[in-house]
Amino acid sequence: MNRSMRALLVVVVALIVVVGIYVGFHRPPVSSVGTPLTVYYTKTDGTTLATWTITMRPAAPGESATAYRAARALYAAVQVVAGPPANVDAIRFPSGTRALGATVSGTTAVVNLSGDVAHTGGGSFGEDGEFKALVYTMTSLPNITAVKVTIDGKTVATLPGGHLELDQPLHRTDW
Amino acid sequence: MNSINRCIARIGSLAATLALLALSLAPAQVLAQTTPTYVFSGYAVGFAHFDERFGTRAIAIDDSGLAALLYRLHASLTWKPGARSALITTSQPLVVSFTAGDANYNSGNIVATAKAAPYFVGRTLYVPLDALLTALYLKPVVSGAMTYLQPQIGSLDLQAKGAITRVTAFSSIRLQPRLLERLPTAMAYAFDGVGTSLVGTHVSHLPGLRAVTVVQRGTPTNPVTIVRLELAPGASTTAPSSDDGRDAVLSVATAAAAPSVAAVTAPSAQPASSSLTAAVTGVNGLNEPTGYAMLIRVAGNASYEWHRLRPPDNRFWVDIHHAQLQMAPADYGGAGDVQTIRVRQVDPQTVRVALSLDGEKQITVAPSPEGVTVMIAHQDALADDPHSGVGPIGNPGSGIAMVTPAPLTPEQPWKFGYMARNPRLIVIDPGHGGSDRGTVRHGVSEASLTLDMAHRLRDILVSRGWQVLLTHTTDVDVYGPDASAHDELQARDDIANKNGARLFISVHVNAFINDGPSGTTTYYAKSTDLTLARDIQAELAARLGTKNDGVIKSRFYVPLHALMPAVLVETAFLSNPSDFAKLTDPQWRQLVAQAMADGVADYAGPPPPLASPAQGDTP
Repeated sequence: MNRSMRALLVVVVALIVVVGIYVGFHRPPVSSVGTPLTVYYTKTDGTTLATWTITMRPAAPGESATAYRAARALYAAVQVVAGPPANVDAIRFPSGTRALGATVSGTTAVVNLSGDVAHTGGGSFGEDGEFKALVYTMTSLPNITAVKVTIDGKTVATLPGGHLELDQPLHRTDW
Repeated sequence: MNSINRCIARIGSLAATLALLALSLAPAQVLAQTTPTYVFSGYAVGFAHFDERFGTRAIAIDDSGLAALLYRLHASLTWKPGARSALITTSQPLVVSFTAGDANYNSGNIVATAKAAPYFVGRTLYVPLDALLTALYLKPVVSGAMTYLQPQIGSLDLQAKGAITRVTAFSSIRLQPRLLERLPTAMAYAFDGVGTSLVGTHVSHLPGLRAVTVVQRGTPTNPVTIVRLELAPGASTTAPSSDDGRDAVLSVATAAAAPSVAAVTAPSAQPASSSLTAAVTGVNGLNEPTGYAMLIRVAGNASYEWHRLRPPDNRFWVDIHHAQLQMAPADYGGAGDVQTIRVRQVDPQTVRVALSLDGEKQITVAPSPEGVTVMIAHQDALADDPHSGVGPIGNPGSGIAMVTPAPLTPEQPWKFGYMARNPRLIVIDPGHGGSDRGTVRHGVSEASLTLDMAHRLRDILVSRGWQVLLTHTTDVDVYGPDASAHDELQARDDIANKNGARLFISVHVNAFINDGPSGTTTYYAKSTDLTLARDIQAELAARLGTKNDGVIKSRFYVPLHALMPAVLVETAFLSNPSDFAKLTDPQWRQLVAQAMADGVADYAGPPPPLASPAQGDTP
């Protein structure tokens, strides 16, 4: 093989490599590994919402649509109660608050929070921001338009010493 | 031979370079099929990342051209790559949210529908351009080879505050009304540089204002919108102004679109209502196999106008204009599709029949020889069912004018104007008390501070001629020790509701788990609370020296369940050192009371004379 042929071969190989890299970077993923969910938090100005995205696993083989919707609702509720990474300036649920369960009834997500949510330190500021984020998060799930909150499994009018009406489903339009 | 080889090698290198260049440009060719340039306010706006699929044009949410446009509109974007939702905060301020896969988008409290749902290309969210521009109060107008993004007056709110009717126009840019015509019965203002989709005549039943007529003139590059106010006899106008900077303060970074306001003052003595031609004599309902049939009995010539809210708010009402209620105001509880029915005279010329429905049902409204029939079917409404309508009652030739219902806005009152049985009475609720101390820091409790400020506010209001009731005058529970939250809070509302108070003010002190947040906020829950909240917050922000956290809507129990305009004032943060020092200063608490009292005066004016009959308090 003379030098000209070798040069031509190098060019062809280079082209193949470039095309391979391009296709590798730009082709659509073969299959999805989950569904993105948007989780909201309220910034410490008390009103501004911001989001981050998490990924929900696909439905497991044999898992019913109802069970998957409930699992997705619980996953979203757990995430919003956990809040964004610690270095993010956000209104957070009181320490120890857990999403104990979540179900979906029609277009309403029912979220059961632990009683720790009452430890707000008083004031409406945190309470308003926490539940606003919860409602925006849950209503970003498909076909969910309202959120009913229970505390330790019970319906309450408000948190102890609280301000927000909780015995009725909450909607985005409440804010 | 060497030179031939070098030549071949160079050709090969050139070919490789060209191949690389071609490959690197390939994505841009896919997305930048057509990249038209728009013109906004004299600036070229080039959108680089267009995509056309699903029958509509979409734009990448992180497009640099969009970023430049938002900058010029004093709007901001919250989004990061891969996020399904994008939030745009406009200068109004209004939060517009788009979510991947959902053709519905939120613009403030209004849900609108785009031609297609936002979608992803890679990790970038693409949003339908038409919907995006509409949400930003911009309309593309083609003129010659150029497409201009014409600013629009996107909403026109009519609100009554006592004897004053306010017409507030909102746009994507600062509005500067110019007086065009002044007549005893009409005033016309020109808004240069903006167009509108609100062209038409909107009949008003608010004090002093008979109608608002909107027309558009000018050219695509220099549109002019003319707003003409038809005045009631004896009504007068004041000079138009921007909304005294309060809204601008609420949108500090994006203050360019402070609303422009024209005020119309009603004549002090309302002329006799000679135009009334009809009487509403009864409301009858009947459950039928297909649904619920209701007959509103109307004698005489009138017109009707109906509206329904969008789910999840399943309320519906019919207004009978030019009519008086000749039956006792009525409330009916229902079951099944219709949960409640209320019948009221909401203003001197309008009778309202309002229903709360169990779901978004199909509704048919039609005139009948006996008045108006309303049929509420069992089945759910279809997506394209109308949300409003109008029609005549009685003799169509009677001269009663029908107008197309104006689009609903979040500010528009949906329900009966509250009729204060005691228009001189203001109820003040010191937040917490008794067994509920509220927030506590360094031995100082919210309950003791709110009681102190409530007493101070009471003294000022009484000195100005108001009657004042406190929900509790000493540091005790209102319902009783250790009562449920519902009983305790409802007991406070009950005091105001049962006494027919004009206004309700709940005084609170805020706190957070750390000492960062500070400032003063006025919360409201109902649309009827908003003006009162703004007036009180404006006075607080001007006087207290605290951070102005603005007016915030939330579903707070106490203002929500008060029938009258009500607010919950969070005066300052006990958890913040600077605010703590203020809260524990009696002179500062006196300032708080003074500011709240002045806010009441801004809203309600002076208290009515003792002999005054009950007045409507329609916001």
